[in-house]
Amino acid sequence: MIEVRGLSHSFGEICALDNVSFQVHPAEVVSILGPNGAGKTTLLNILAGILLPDKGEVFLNGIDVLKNPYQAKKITAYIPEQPYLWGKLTGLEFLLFIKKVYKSEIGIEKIGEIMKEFDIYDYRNSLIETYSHGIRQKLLFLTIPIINPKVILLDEPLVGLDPKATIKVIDLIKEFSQKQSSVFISTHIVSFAEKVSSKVLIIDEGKIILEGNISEIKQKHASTLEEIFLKETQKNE
Amino acid sequence: MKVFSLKLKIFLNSLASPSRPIKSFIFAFLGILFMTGIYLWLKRIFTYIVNVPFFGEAILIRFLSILIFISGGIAVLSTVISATATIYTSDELKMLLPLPLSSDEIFLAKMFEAFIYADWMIFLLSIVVAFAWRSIYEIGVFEILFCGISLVFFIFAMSSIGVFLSNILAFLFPTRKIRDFSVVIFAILFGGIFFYMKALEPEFLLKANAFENFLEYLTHLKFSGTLLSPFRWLAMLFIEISKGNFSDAFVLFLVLFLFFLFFFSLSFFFGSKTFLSTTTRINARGAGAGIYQAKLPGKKEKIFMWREKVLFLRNSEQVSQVAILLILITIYLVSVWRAPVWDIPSVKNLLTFLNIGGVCLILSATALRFIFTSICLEGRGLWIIFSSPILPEKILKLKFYYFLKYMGVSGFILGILSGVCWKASFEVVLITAVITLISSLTITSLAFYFALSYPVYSTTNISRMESSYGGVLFMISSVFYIVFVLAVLAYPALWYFTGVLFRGAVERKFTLIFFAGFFLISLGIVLFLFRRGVKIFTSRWHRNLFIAHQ
Ligand SMILES: Nc1ncnc2c1ncn2[C@@H]1O[C@H](COP(=O)(O)OP(=O)(O)O)[C@@H](O)[C@H]1O
Ligand SMILES: [Mg+2]
Repeated sequence: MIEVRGLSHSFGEICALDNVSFQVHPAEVVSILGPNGAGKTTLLNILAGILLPDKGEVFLNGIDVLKNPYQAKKITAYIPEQPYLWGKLTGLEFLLFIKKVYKSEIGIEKIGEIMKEFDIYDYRNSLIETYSHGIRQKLLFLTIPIINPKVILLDEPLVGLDPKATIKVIDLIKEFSQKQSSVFISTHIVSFAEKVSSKVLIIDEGKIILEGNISEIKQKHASTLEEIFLKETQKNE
Repeated sequence: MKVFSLKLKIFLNSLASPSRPIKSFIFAFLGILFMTGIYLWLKRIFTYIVNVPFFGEAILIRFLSILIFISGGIAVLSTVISATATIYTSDELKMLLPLPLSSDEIFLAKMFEAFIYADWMIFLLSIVVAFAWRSIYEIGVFEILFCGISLVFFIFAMSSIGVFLSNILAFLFPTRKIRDFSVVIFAILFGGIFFYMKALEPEFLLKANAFENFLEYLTHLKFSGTLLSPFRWLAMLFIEISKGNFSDAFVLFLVLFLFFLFFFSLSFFFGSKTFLSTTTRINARGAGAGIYQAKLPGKKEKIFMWREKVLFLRNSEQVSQVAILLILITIYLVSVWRAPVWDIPSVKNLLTFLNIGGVCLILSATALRFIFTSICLEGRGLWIIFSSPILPEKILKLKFYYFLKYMGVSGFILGILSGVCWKASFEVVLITAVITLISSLTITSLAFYFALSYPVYSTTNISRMESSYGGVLFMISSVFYIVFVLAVLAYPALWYFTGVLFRGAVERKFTLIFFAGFFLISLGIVLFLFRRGVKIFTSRWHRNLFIAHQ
């Protein structure tokens, strides 16, 4: 369960988020669509407890992220956009590190199994600095089954992934949403949002300009999601 | 040229938006204070030397040659150390290489960048020297400019040698394997230091408790008298132009310019020919990385320190730096060991005492190189810590203790070793060791504080972190701290050396009070700086995320 109320944040002059409110229920997958610079990454950083907002409240499963970040982070998996990883650790070491930090119950055999599933088992003992972008991304996705989170935050998850990995990621998202996790995804790829999520938010210049069920929105506007997205985000210019 | 103008623009942009005006002001103030001190000291020496009857000028040339020799040596060394990172492994290359620029042009720009990073300190200090120089020779703006340009050519020639050496290193050992790299650096350093000991015989200087002995030392030196040394050319150029002999000065300038041209072209041609292939080979990452076996500690907190160690030990750049540091310390100790021993114990003990300053300086350099940069290197991976269910304050605390431990032990051991090398009495060795131990803790907290307040996340180039705003600020404040330590301890030291200490009860009490004061002040500094630093750091991170996740 993600609850966001009246969230605002600015970087100096730039207003990155302006009074944003929404909810993501358990077992729900919500995508936030928006052009570059709309404020998606800022929003996710706040949800992950990395950035403190100027104003507003965020609750993850009823835990106030701003007041009790420690508890909130325990149940959250966050995968940032093109993240940096410690290059001098091996893939396996990184996953074990995550296991320890989140006090996960998962066994080491299970970790090996999921690495095989994502085709990165052969890389487990080489340093992360030798990985290609896609392999790094896959490694990060493996932290999700290790953390076993109630809240999943993904920032542009498809960047750099091949089609096979994309399917794996979609499966993973569906698996965890069936386990009653709340999944919140930022993307600018409309077709992906349509494929995985039941609900979308469209954000532009820090404001949520459209919100609702994908099918309902399509019916109301009588056009594809892509067209609605382009139309809505151009209004402001 | 395009690359130059681009870089200039980046630099000017960073100047145009000074983020913390008050702190910049303090920074400038401290810097000026520091330079004034050097100025006064130099002025005194210059006037003293010039006033020596008959030999004044000859001695001045030698003194200048030594200054120039040291600056040149620093230019070569610091270029060797930093050039590989600037030229071959900087992140910028990802942006520059795809642009329609010739590799010659990129290499040239990178080479100049390496020059500037290695030499800016020398140029800044040479301004001070110029001012001090004016107190003995009335020279005008033109002369100063002429000297300045000659100096730039000379220093750039030295840096060209440095770039050439590091190009050869990078060319021969592109895999950056720990062994190859540090072995070569070892060899170069040992060679350089052997030369330094042979040429300058620094232990002779230790005899100098008065200027007369210093002059004797200068006259004694055969090395700087060599006509064929560029150090001497530059020194003579300075003197000739100050006396108004322009024709002589001009000839010397031409000679120096040719010297520069030779090494610059050598370095440029070799470097630009091998630039592209070396860059690709150095940055190549591949199957050769080897297999690492995961062995992790059990506890959640310990695992962060495990990570700290692993990341450090697997980084060949860091490990080779430890090697360099160990060599430098050995040299320091050996030269202390070889110092003439006198029979008067109080003089010996006094020197041991001043030695505290030397040990503290070594500790500061260590802290800058490893503690300051460690926090900067965290930069892009900080999102992992900040999004994990762990208190960032706690991680910082663990990190702090980790460094305190290492620095404290190093401070204590260094204090003992250098005291023993001085062959000082038992009590003095012990006192020295305790003082260096306490100072090392304070220095650690200073490094921690300045790194947390002014971290550098925009680069992975370590020498750039060291010469950043925070790094320089740390070095200045730690020099001030060392001066403070020596000043506070001057009284008990004096008592001791006049032979009263450890005899009369009154002095013992006073000495104890002094030490307690010193200890408490240091402890206060340590706690205060740590708390402040952590607070500044976490709040700034939470507010602004100073960096993107790239
Ligand atoms: N650390 C920062 N400092 C200043 N401005 C920032 C910072 N991070 C983001 N911004 C600005 O905030 C706005 C939103 O950025 P972001 O959340 O990254 O957008 P998105 O992820 O949707 O592309 C942009 O205008 C961006 O320039
Ligand atoms: Mg983004």
